[in-house]
Amino acid sequence: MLISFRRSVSVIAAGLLAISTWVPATAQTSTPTRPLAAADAADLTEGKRLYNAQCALCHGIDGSGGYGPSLLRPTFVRAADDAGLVTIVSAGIPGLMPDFGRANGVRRTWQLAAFVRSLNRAGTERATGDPQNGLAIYQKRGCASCHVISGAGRALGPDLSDIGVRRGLSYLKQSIVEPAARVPEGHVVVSARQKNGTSVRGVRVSEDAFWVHIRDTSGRLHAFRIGDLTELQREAGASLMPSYGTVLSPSDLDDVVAYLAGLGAK
Amino acid sequence: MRRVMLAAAAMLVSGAALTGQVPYQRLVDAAREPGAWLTYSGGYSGQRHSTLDQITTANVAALRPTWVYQVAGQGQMETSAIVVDGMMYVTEPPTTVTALDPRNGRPIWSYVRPMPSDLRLIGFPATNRGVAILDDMVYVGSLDGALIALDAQTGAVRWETKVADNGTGHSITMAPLAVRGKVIVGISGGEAGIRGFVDAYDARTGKLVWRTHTVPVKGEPGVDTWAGESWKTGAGATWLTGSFDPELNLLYWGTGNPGPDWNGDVRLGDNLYTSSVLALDADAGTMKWYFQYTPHDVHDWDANQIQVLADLEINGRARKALVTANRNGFYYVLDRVTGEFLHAAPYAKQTWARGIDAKGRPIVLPNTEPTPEGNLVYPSLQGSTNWPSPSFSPQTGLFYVPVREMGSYYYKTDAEYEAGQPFTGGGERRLADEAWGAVRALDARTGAKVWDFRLPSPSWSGVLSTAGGLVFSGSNEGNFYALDAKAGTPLWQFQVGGMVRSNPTTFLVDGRQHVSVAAGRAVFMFALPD
Repeated sequence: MLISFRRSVSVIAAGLLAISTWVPATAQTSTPTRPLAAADAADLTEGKRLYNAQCALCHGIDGSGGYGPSLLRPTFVRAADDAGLVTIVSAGIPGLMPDFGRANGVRRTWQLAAFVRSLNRAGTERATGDPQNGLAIYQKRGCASCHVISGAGRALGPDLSDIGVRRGLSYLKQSIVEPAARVPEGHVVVSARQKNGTSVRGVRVSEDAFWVHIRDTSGRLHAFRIGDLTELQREAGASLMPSYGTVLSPSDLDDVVAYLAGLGAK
Repeated sequence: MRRVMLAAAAMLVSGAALTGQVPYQRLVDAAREPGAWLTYSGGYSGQRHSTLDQITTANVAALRPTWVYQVAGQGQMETSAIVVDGMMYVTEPPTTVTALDPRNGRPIWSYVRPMPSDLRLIGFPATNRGVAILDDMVYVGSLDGALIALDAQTGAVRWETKVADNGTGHSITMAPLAVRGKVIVGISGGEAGIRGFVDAYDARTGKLVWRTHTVPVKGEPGVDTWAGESWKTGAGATWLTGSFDPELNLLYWGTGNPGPDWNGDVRLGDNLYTSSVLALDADAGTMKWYFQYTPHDVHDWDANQIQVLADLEINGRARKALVTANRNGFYYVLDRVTGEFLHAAPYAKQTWARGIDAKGRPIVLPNTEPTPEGNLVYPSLQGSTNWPSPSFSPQTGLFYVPVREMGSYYYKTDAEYEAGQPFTGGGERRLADEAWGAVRALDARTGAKVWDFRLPSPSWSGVLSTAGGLVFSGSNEGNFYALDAKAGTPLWQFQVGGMVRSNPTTFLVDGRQHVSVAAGRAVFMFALPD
């Protein structure tokens, strides 16, 4: 299902790309220039009300996607910056997404765009730890044996190069202390048992109705015909990453979070 | 002037030669002509079963693609092909009809409908599920709310009728159903607070013959099942092709969710005739009976899924039955003459009802409504199954249904109606990580599970059964496959490289059985080697 979900999103994303050249001239010309991040609580409350009424149907009540793509991402294919996001929220995409700008007007359109922008951020808290020490711990603990940052490291777990833009502090902290609490998309753990009794456990790289591809913790890729397996188990809520909740002191943990929170910031 | 008249006369002659190409009686007798695929579901009964038996459990392993037709337009490919007299009619998004040569996949003609820049698609992707054919014309509904008649040989537009205003969220994605002299069409817009209807148009002229609303107005029976004036935005969309019993002259049409979808507080009551099946007289559109599967639905569990007509022995008595796997997780058996409820049983995981009572009404469990904080309920809002077609095989007595095993947190929010805007009152957060799918074979009389063919994710592919002892279906991950109809074991598969989100069909090409399916952004044709 992860596989299919990603596929359906990419279909829509491809549509967005292809159609990007003919967004009509109805795009806002009087867009307020205030950055979306400057929205206050009242703006976001109104934006959320509009989001629930107009956007949740396709993008999910929490922005995680459905008919439309997930909005829990740092950049949007069709909206490179704040102005682009306001434009798309206003003008829609012909054949794919309705134009809500006429109904909402300029001010409410901006509030809605600000709320969409806020979906990706878990609050506006500032990291309190020491990012320099966080980097040292990241290196010392061997995090790069499973994660890539700016091209360096082994890609078993998620690439963290821009994780600070994609995830808020509480998410980052939780993912270090309780990695299995919210397994990121594309990192479902499966175990396959062969007829000869041997088992392989790892990240599911790909699965269809007849084949499954699994990358084990050594990085080796296995391909199995499902008909040749005696068991294929999807471990819902499992992660290959160990918990560092007791390994790191609270202040070291804050430092790693501070380091990660700074990744991808412009 | 004389030359013009001669040209007109020539056109009349060629037109006359084509008239009656697919007369109504051929559609009635579709089951006796398995070489063609004549209606959306292969025949009026909605069974999507073929008596062709050249491709069998013994030789299907040799099945291979013969051609691929790729489409250009944006949107979702969900077409179900019509094949007759050496022509194959498919549709492409947004609203394009293409006639292909089924031998080689070469296009003969295309009708491309330009879409307005302010097209409103509220609650569904840009898609089209197919055409209807009658006499010498094919009929297509458009995303911008029109019904168009095209010359079956050339694609020339014969007439065009506005069904409803797209500015208020009305749209057509379904394949129309042609009956005697009429084209029946339903409408999408269940997330836009429309008031649903089923329409019949004169097949020759495009004039409206009758319109039957799915939500009553003040003064009509059933309006008291709507609090206040909530019926005005009551939805009950009719967005999938219905079934038809020519002997009873009754159309069976499923209706969609009440509006707004997830906030039922503003429309207290049973909300007739939403999430129901309506039996409509084909001549006049009058409602002979109705059966409401989900009274006061608050989960968007449309009842638009194919209503399959099958003659079954129920409790020792022969019945003209109507069976359906509903989005709400229950399988139903009704008497299609009277609408009497005969039986229901869950066919997928559901956590909202203790069961169905003796009259067919669900016994709803407490605390299963959407809430502001989110409430976990199975199935998810896309239901235990959705529009992809099931299949009923009279040979095995099994009902094959594409299943979606997924739960969702349902949310309730405020809902204010604004014309042409979403009117939903909430939404869902899906438990996608734990979700899975299946092609599931049920005993058609009881709904009891006989076998499962498991899929990695909730299915969006329809099912076709054949007299060769086979069941064909697809997966989101691109597998198109054949199963043993009795046991569910896989016998053949082909990776098409894109999501299978359509219904397979089968027919003869030059006397040889072929199987076709749309997947990804293409139409695929399969046959055994020469």
